Amino acid sequence: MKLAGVIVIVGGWLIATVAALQVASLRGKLAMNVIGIAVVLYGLVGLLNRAHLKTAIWKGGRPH
Amino acid sequence: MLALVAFLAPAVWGQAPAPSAPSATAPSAQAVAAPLTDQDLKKIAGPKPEELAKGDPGGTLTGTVNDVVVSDPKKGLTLSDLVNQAGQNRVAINFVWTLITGYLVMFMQAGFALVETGLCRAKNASHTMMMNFMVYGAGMLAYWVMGFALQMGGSAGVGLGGVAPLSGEFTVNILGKPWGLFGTHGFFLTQGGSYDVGIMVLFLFQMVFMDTATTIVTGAAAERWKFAAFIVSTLFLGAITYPLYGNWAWGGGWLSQLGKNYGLGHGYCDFAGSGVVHAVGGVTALAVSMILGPRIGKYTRDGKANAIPGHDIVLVLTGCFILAFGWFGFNPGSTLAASGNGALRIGSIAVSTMLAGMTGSFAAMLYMWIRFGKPDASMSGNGLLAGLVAITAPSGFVNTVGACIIGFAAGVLVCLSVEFVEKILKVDDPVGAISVHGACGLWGVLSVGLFADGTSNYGGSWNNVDGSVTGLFYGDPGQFVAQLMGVATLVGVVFTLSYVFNTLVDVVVGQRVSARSELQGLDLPEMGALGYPEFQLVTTHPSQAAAGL
Repeated sequence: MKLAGVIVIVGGWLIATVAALQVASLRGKLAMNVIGIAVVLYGLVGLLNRAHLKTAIWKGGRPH
Repeated sequence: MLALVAFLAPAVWGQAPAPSAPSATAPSAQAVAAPLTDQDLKKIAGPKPEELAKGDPGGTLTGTVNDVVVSDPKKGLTLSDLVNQAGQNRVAINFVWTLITGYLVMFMQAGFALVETGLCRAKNASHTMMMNFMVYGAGMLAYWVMGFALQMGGSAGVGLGGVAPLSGEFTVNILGKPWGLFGTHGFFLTQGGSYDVGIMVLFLFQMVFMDTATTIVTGAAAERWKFAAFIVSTLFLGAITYPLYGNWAWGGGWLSQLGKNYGLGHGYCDFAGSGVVHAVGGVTALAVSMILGPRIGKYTRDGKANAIPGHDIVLVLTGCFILAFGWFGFNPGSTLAASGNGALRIGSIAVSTMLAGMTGSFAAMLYMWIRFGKPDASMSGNGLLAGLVAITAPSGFVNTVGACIIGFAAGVLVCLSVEFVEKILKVDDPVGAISVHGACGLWGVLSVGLFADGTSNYGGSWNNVDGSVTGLFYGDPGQFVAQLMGVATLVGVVFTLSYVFNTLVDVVVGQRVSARSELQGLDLPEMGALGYPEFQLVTTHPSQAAAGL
């Protein structure tokens, strides 16, 4: 789950930059950027952070 | 030549008359239009020794032709001496300006130390203070060894008069365009011809900026971060993560060239570092805090957040004032000049900076007052910092109205973000660093693309694109897209780099102290001495007492 989060975050960045720069129109670049940032945030909040919360200390996880 | 003569005329004729009260004996423009020769200079007489012996209370005899450095005493004063003196004076003004503003930024470390220590509990005072103290040395070491070279090693062209050796940028071809990734000159400040006066000035200024980014992390990770892990993490941030993004934004790297290569405004613009400094520190703080997990007692078994108040609000607000003072180095100093190429905009930059801080603190105070019935002191302080963080990137490009709006929005944003991080993300950030520096840093980056008013003129171009930086509200939507790419890179790449490396540190060194050390307080187990040895520390807050803290 953590690895998936990291992969999605990087994927979102690729959409917002490398893919967006392939689009000719400025509106298209803007849209790709917004989509890319949304994907990044999903990876961060929806996947990576959720994975950390699964083992949160108030649920009996760390600290060691 | 005529322009040169006109430029030099006031110096040649000694004390220049005030424009509003021209002297009857001053030479007219037509009179000086004749070619000036070395012989003409010989006729200029400075104050005589007997006049100088009487003292100069009015300041009219100090700084005359007598003080112009002569290269060959046998020849006396020549035109080339005058021209060289003019050039050196400009560079000297810029050196002194950049150094002094750099010293101000360095002093911000004291502000951060006070804010963070005040917002933590007394049992961790020595540990928190020590992290803020040693982040200065650890970060500087990493930056001297390699960080500066990676960031600025290909940045030749900044206005300090002597950084030509910084001409090595590692570039790859992506999508048919060159993408600068990192610099290759300046390791140990000796390699690649970097033993140079201008480069030394640039290093000092950039180093204190990098240290600001590294010290942001210590606040979010306070009260549970193992000191050894903190040192390793700081070395990596100062050597790799910060310099990489710094290169992309300030060192001639790919983000700064989005305008030249892809027609997106003036490329990614971050005047003084809302993104490069604050958001880099903020997203790294988020990564480390996620890995560390919350402090014991921060959340109840059902995930409800407990308040863990800091131990000294006096320290906190004093630290905020010190930071606000240091910000006058941070933003106006980022011109790297006070003379030439539109650098006199430093006045506007300083005023925008103080206004945004003011509206930020007002907004946070009002928000908390309306929402919770009291004007929360620590959040008012964080509001001040939020406004300052947000205005850092746009300070060189916006007017005062824009600055006030940016600061006010940041003051509200920091309150919302603190709640979001604490209650939704359930990431424990004892000082609000993720919100102040991360969220408001990103807002600052975006605000350049909205509020830049197209009036700045730093030598007629920015990031190799002619004209002035102009945001969406003033007619250039391309600039906003470039800023969005900066935001995506901060969260997508900088966060990921920090997260992956700090996960490795967690596996190898271990990021978190033991539960026993945390409950006892980190001063004795980690530092070997209490921060307040003559005081008996007791828990008075109900939520802490209930949690056994």
